[in-house]
Amino acid sequence: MEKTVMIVDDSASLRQLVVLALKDSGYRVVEACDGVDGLSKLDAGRVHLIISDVNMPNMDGLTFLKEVKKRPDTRFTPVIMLTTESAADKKDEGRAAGAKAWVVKPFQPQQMLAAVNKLIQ
Amino acid sequence: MTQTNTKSSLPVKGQSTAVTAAGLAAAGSDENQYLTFKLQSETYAFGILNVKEILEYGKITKVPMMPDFIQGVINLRGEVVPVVNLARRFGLKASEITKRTCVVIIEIGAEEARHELGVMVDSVSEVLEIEDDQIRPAPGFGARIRNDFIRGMGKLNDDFVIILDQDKVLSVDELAAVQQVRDMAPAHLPEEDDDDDSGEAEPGKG
Amino acid sequence: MSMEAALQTYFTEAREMLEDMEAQLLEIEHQDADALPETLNAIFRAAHTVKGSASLFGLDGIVDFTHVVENLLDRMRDGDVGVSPELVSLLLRCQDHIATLVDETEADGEVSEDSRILSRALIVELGAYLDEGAGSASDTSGLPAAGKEVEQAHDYPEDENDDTVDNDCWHISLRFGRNSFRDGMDPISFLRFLENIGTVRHILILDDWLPDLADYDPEDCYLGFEIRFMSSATKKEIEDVFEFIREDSDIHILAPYSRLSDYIDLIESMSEESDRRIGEILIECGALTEAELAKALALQAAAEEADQSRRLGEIVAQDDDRLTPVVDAAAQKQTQMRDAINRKQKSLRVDADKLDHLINLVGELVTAGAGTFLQAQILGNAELIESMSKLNDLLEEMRDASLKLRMVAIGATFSKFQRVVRDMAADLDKEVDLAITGADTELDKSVVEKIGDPLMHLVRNAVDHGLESSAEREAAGKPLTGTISLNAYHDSGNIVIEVGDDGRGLDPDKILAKAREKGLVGEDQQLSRAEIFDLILRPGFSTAEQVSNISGRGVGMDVVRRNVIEMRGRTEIDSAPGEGTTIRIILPLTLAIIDGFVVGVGKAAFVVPLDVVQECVEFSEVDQTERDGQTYINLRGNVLPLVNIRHRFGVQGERPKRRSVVVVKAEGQSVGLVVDRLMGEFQTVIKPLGPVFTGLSGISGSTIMGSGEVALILDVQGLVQQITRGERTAANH
Repeated sequence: MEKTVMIVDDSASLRQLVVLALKDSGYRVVEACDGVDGLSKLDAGRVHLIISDVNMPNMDGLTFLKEVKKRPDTRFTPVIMLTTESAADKKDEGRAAGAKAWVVKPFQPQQMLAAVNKLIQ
Repeated sequence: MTQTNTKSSLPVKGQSTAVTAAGLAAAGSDENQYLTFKLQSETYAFGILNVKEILEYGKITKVPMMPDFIQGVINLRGEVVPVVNLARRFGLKASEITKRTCVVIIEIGAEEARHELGVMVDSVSEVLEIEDDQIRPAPGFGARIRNDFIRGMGKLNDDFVIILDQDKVLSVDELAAVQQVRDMAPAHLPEEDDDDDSGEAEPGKG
Repeated sequence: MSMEAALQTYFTEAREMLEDMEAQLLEIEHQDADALPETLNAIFRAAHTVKGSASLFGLDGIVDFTHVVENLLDRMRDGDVGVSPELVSLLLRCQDHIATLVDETEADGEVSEDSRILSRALIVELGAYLDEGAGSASDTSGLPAAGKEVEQAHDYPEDENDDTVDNDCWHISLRFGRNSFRDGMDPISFLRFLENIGTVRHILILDDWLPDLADYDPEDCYLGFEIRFMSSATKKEIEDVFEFIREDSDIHILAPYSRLSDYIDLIESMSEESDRRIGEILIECGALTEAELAKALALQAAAEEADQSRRLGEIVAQDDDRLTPVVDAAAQKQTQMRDAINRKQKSLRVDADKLDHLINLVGELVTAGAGTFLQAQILGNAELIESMSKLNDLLEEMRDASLKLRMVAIGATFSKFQRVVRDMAADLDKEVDLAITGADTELDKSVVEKIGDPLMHLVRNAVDHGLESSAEREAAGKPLTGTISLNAYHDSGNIVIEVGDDGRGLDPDKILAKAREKGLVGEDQQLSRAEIFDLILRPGFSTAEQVSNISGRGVGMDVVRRNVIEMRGRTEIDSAPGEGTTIRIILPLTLAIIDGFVVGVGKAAFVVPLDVVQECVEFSEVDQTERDGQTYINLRGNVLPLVNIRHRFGVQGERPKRRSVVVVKAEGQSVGLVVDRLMGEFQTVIKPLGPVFTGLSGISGSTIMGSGEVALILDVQGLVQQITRGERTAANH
């Protein structure tokens, strides 16, 4: 079955790269530009895995993550946080809020694919 | 004539010409193809590449204070397109409008400045292929029209068609410039005033 | 989609981010202190995204420089570096520079050598602020290295106050995942491996999660460890030890001499355990002293009190069962906010050509609908007429809606000038405020695109020549800070854009003298005040005694006039000595919808913008008088000049016996248009007439009527202006 991955990031180019990295391996990718957008798109259909940036306008990644963990339908959806080296403390915070893994920016498309494969299969 | 222009994006009805929709489209890719048409017993041609479509002459709106070779404007599927009266543009007497009178829509200009113009002709004839080696340079004299309007003379059996240089014939700069000169002519203001719109020109007045 | 497409997206996005960054930077100086953190965060985020995404594409030239800017912004966000005008200027220059780097990278695939040099110079300037804010802890030495290794420099205490815990060991909290055994992991092997990179000082095994024997599953892992670990390894090296289990396990690593707040975070992050229990464990394994724990818990309590709802929200985020009314309210508030943001964000980019195509198709549809309606009426089928009329209403609504798609607010164009004004004011040593009004005024996108350059010339000229120097202002008793105003509004089917200043104003005598000297005006030629002011927009005219390098030698002002005329608009200038100057650009709303009033002359139909129409009266030739070639009628005691459209436009055809006068008002003056027929109101779409008709006066555009025919729209302002000019000329003769 085709698995759906949601990428939440305010950078459209980053989202496009994630789509590039994943679509050839048969993932369907839903894009959202921030936490608020992400939550509204979670309403639209089942998502098997979420990749989320930390620092975003409107609703940051950690708040988004906490919201995701609150919802019964997405409580157990694995979440990968995207962090930068300079935001090490956010990793811990993300972990505490229920993120399954983090990927450090900048990442190679294969890295992202590997992380997704590992969590989703 | 009650038919609106918008209906006749197809080739002109009731004409025994070689122009068909498919023919036009296929011809569109060939640089050596020309659309020939009649204007007061002379045969002229435009390169087919820029010919977009041919309309039956229909409702046209006159635009005041324009030179007589601007016949007016038409509604081409929502776009307002100026129509040039080719006979007048050539300095000839205007032709009588008949059932066979057509408006040839030609695209001119490049890239961003690209736009469409209609050209009024007496009747459209056919699409012809004229090889480059069959085209002679314009004669220095003897033609009825301005020499720079002519791109070349296409040889057809024993006859010649005058291949027009559309960029010259339909030069927007020239069409607009002519109009400005004309617009200023009746101005009665002090001569220093070079303001475009200061002339209170009232051609029909008095 | 491809990598190239993604890269293209990046360039577009980076430019947007940078524009946003500029706007926010300009805002900082005018902002309340409470708004500052959010603004700084937005600026940081812009730089952060520009850098972050650049690094994905390996655009090192952008990454290396932006990284340093980001660092400084991060410090500003934390309050370590204060905001100052000098710093804002530096950041604006950095933002410009990043934009250059982006442009160069897009054009050439890399940044130029010049830009590299400038990058280094700017980094030195940035370094000064980084040093100032951070004291010893900041690391600016290895700056251009994009900070890929920054993480390894783990969290050492940033300041020397006694918040630091006296503990020279790493503290590792380990909670193995339930499935560790099933995943083939042996917890002990990790602990053994740990010994390879340091010494375990103390280890506390936690068995709090062991269930009753009945529930015990031998394949589950219930273990937790608290470890004091002596090592010179980096945090990353320690983390790497646990790499294979970190997905499912809870691992927290605290550096030696971590701050108390880090321990508080650790305590808080242990979601499944009570705070007290964790605290005790920490004491037990020697990570914290009892006093330190007490202080930590007190700090936590204080923080909790200060921000209770947030705290509660976090707790609930971890446990649904403890939902409280307070959180309900908070959640509700969040939903409302989300809805608001959602609305704001429901916008998408559409190619302008596609929009134009849609609008044309819809226009055609309306025309076709009108034709069908006509046929229905001819057939006389009542049901068909009824349903066609419904269809037509819908079509018209659809046309209106599609037209609005192209309208954009002028605000974005205006706000670009904040920067221009700010930079110029600094260069000229003037104090200048920019006041923007009418930012919501909508106009067609094509107009917005073309108005930028003329406005730029006008604004620059106003700052440079319009406003006096501070000394002059002081001497004149005016406020030291000059004001440049930008304003936009709709008027009589036109859009009016004003550029004003409260500067020295224009001196008509001086302008006239200069124009005569330059031969622009004849010696005995009399000009009205407005015409004299108009001279400043003539080619080669400059009144500035001191030609500055900013607005040049009057070059540009004539460009303004030319551009505006090309857009079929016109300019007007108001000025009073000592009070200032306002230059008004009056443009037709190309492609906008206006309500029109259709009149017939001969066979032709003309459209008059409805908002200039005052009334319609019957025309009687008996009442008209003529003076100096201009005809008038007496309208309730007032003299009303007439424009005979039939004459004015040379319309052919027989003149009907009964004619009408449409009284229009424009330019503060009423004029009567003599027409053959009144044909009623009609909502019209303005179609520009195109380049062939440049310079045609008295007609502002065209429109397509229900019948499919083209009708011309009268430029009433232009007509009135010609009348007033004609009148004056006549009087002078």
